[in-house]
Amino acid sequence: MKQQISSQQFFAILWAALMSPAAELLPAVTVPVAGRGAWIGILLAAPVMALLGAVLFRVSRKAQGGLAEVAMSALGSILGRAVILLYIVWGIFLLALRMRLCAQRLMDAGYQDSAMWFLVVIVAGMALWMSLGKLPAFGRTTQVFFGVLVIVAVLVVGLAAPQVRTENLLPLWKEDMMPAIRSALPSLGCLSYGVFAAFLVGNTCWEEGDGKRWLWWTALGCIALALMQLVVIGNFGPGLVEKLDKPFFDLAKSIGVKGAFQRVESVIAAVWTFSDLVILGLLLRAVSTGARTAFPKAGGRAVSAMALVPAAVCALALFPDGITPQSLSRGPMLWVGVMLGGGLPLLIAAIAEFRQKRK
Amino acid sequence: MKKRLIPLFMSLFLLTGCGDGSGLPFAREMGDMALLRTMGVDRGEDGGLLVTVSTGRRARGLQQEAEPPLLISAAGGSLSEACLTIQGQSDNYVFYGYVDQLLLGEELAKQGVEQILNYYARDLELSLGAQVWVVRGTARATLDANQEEGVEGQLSVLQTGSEIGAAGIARTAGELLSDLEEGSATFLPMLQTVDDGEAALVETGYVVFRGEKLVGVLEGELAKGVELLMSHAPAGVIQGELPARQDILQERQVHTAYHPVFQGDELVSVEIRCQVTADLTEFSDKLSNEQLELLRQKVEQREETRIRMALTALQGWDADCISLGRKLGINDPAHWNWLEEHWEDLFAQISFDVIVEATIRCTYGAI
Amino acid sequence: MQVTRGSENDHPRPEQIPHYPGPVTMENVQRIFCDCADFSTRTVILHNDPGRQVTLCYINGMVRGERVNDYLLRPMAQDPFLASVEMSKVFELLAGGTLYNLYMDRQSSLDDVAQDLTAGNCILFFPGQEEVLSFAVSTEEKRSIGESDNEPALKGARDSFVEGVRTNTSLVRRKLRTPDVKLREFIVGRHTRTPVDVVWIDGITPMETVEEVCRRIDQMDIDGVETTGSLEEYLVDRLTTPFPLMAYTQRPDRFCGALLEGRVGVLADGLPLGYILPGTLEQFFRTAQDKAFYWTMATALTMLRYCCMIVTLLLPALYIAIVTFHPEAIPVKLALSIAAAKQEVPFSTIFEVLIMLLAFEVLQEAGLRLPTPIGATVSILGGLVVGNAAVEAHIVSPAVLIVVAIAGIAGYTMPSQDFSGALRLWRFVLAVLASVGGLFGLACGIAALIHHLAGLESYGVPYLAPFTIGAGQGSGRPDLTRPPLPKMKWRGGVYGLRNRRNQK
Repeated sequence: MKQQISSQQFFAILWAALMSPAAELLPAVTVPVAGRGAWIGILLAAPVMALLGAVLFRVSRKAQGGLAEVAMSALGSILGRAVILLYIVWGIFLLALRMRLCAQRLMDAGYQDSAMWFLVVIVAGMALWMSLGKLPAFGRTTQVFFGVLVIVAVLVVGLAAPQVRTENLLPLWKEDMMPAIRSALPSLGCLSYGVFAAFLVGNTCWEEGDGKRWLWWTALGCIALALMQLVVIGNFGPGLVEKLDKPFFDLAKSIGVKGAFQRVESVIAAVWTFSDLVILGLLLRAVSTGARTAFPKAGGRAVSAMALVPAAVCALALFPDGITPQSLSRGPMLWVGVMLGGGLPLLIAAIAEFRQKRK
Repeated sequence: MKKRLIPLFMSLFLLTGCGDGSGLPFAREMGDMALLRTMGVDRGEDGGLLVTVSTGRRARGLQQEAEPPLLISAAGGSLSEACLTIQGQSDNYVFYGYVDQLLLGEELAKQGVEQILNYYARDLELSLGAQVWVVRGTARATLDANQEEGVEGQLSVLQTGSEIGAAGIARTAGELLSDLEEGSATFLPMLQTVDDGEAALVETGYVVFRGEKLVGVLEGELAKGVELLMSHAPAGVIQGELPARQDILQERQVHTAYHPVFQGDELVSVEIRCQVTADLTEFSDKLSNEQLELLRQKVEQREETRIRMALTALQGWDADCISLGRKLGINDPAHWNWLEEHWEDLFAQISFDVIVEATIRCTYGAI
Repeated sequence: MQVTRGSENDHPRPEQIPHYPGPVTMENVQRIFCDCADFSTRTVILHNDPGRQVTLCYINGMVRGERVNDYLLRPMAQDPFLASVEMSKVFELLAGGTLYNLYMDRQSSLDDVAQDLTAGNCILFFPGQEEVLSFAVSTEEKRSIGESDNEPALKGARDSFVEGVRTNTSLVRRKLRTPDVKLREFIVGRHTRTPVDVVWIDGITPMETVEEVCRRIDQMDIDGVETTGSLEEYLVDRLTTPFPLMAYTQRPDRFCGALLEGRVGVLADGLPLGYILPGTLEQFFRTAQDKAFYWTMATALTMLRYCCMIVTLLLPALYIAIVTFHPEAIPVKLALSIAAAKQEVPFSTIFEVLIMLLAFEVLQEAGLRLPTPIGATVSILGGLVVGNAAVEAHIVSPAVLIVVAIAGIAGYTMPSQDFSGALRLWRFVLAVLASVGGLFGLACGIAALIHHLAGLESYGVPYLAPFTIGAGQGSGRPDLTRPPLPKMKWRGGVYGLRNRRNQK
């Protein structure tokens, strides 16, 4: 019997997973484009994400499955398999990249004398264990993780908000609008990790009113990310944000309550491991679902392990230093994400709609 | 069950010291640490750096027996090298995670401070939240002079005093770096060691940076002028404004707003409107309404003089350390693009129209 | 009262059914109860007519002599009708009401006769009859209904369950007087023959859950129900977890409250508690007092319990992780104080915390085993010696002592001892993980714990319900707060209830 999650769990998985790349990429990738107006980009990306999601839901319902099933039914078996394989390869590469970046973040937060391989192996092992269990259990786990992440994020942003300096955010005028619009593209690149959730659409129990809920979740999520960028830029200024490796986690360095706690960046970095586990679990499940759809004889649990092991090896072998994964993640991967996370699914959806109308 | 236990037992090998090491993070005991509070950086010989660190007052054991502060100095070609050398000189593991006070020597400030600030931005243990001061002379001498008690207590008092308006403007490494990235000038509070039997650190004003280098010092009234321009109520009192009277005023709130005055597309002047709220805390005998009004006008004149003196000094160094350009842009965003392009050239010549509005809020029965 | 038997089985422990083959005769019964010194028989003459005799057999100590005398012997001796009618009709008269006993059964199998005798019944053998009459005249020596030891009542009813299952079901019926309360009884244990009752409210409880509970009890083929574990470990979905999957209570009011929520109750003879199924996480944070107190206080106390759960689980591990790997997170003055105290302690922080946690558990265990007068002394010794002297002798630092003490005391706020025990185990696990990997190790441990809890289910209901909303489940009522009772119009939707609205 197909394992099912609820729509609330689906949204929680999506946004808990997105919090991992968002904390790393935003506003580091938007500030070089838009400066003080970098926080506007994500708000402009929100309608695009909402539209893409609505279109994918529509075609997925007709295909009675997720993105993999839509690809197979729209493109045929050969082209469909090729597209799914493309997503699988991209997913495995992103697995390697996220594991490496997670380990790097932990090392930067206080584990500088720990071995990289140790952190990668532990994170990989945890992700594999979580993805081998039942999907409803993963959904429930993610709901709890999402709650914790939201509370921590609200605390960080809330405590840093009083330290915002107006001159770091203003003035914004019409000359800043074009750069702000351009910053929507890297914001979309960050949000493109969410396309892997589309593989789980077929495993989700959709109810009346979920369309509206999708819009609300998208709006609130993007507003929250905009607010986070606003506070980061307001604290450091766009010039300093460009210099910092991880602006959001550096923000956590400067917050505290006198006499209670201070310098909680290591706590924040450790808690953000939850988001990394969710995104790794999502990637593994998407790869596994895609492989099962394209190659029905592939066993589910074996596929997860077969995807994770080369990903872990690549995380250590392909990225021996800390610069390569960061520059990949903030550069080419964003544009690949826009294409594979936005453009290609739209194209598949359009072909599926066209074929449906012809029938 | 057995199948599940096998990978679990195998994972225990990760914990052993096989090969190059187990990969586990290294645990440190707090009892073996020297928790540094203050770091001083000076220009070293041969163009290097001299770093001096201090723990502040320490205690030992359950009874918290007092121990003198630990003071260590080391020179190096770079900050990293000097910090590593310090590590080797101490019996304990030197931990920089509590360093929230940075003293920069005067000579180093003239040479440039961005290298130090970048180190603070990148290092794992240090943080951009550290308060920064420039000291007259060298930071090492300052820390040596206060070796018995340590300076961290005095600096903490200055930090708190700034928050409650009893001291000058405190600045953090993050604010400094942010100013340097966004504009080309910034400022830092300046300290000096005064020896009245016991060495004490006192604020003497502010140093102005153009780029990352020190270009000038604002002391006395000039320093007060900068505080007014930054909407910070100057610490200290105003007294003796009226002849034959000993009225003491304390400024509580200052709000300064900036408006550019354009003629067409050209900026002709900048209007600075400063609202000062003060309390009459002491008086020799009661004041009449006329005397109160005269006192208020005297305060306005005095504050206007301070502001003009500070602006003149800053224009002389061509250092807009108060982010005046950006503040003008906030109030007139339509001209921000123009301002951003031309402000650096204009700042040294632009005329200022300073208007001070003083209010004496509490008179405590003086009239 | 329905009686069902354990099912036929073809596994390696076959049970001979019937256990005692053969006709129901006095000789067969005496053969079954040979070597039973408490087995007795009595020949009774009906109304002084020596030609009319019946035989009574019973087990001494199990029957109540007065009842036998008044309800059986007296009418048999004094009723003249028994001597006047034909002998062939006397048996029917005795069965029909001549004997003044309310509970009477006709038995025709040796198994039933043997079971009735061990249950305290008196068996009447009539010459020439293949059937016997079984009269329930058992002694009712049992503990009187008193206050619950583990769930004291500050405001509300003070009765608690006792060892007799029928008394317990009567306590339930006194609180739920509706005929919709249904009871199904099973006999569990080949040698204990323990009656186990499944209780539910028809019209509210989902029948799938009821049938599943009944099926599991029916499938139990064990020697006997000795302790609570004899039932629990057979009824839960999963054994590979330290967390309890079945709640239990000694209080009938809490038991009935759970039935009204749509859960299934299980009562067993010999166990002074009632089980509540399915078991979900929020149940183990509830007390019977929650609905008795005003809702604001109840909410505050519930949230306090959740906070205490987090404190007891995480505080020692958090202390180890922060002090050993991330000291910059501690405020300066506290850090200086800890560093000063640590200088004279020879042990590492990790070792200190683990040793103190172990010492705490040893003291707790010792306190349970000792008689009450000595137990108090041990507590004082433990507090003074282990606590104060250890600090004075620089074995541990004061901060560690405070951390472990706070964590221990926070654990005592858990209403469920089983849940508290699971938290104690995980406290050790998290402390070890924190000592190995700092905050990262702790985060992985917490993630593992959450995922483990998320994977647990009890009769199809997720353990984390209603904090998480799963597919096909209605939204529940997260029990972080206890809303005012007039606003609690809906029973939890996570259990597949047939009737969710509980008030106008």
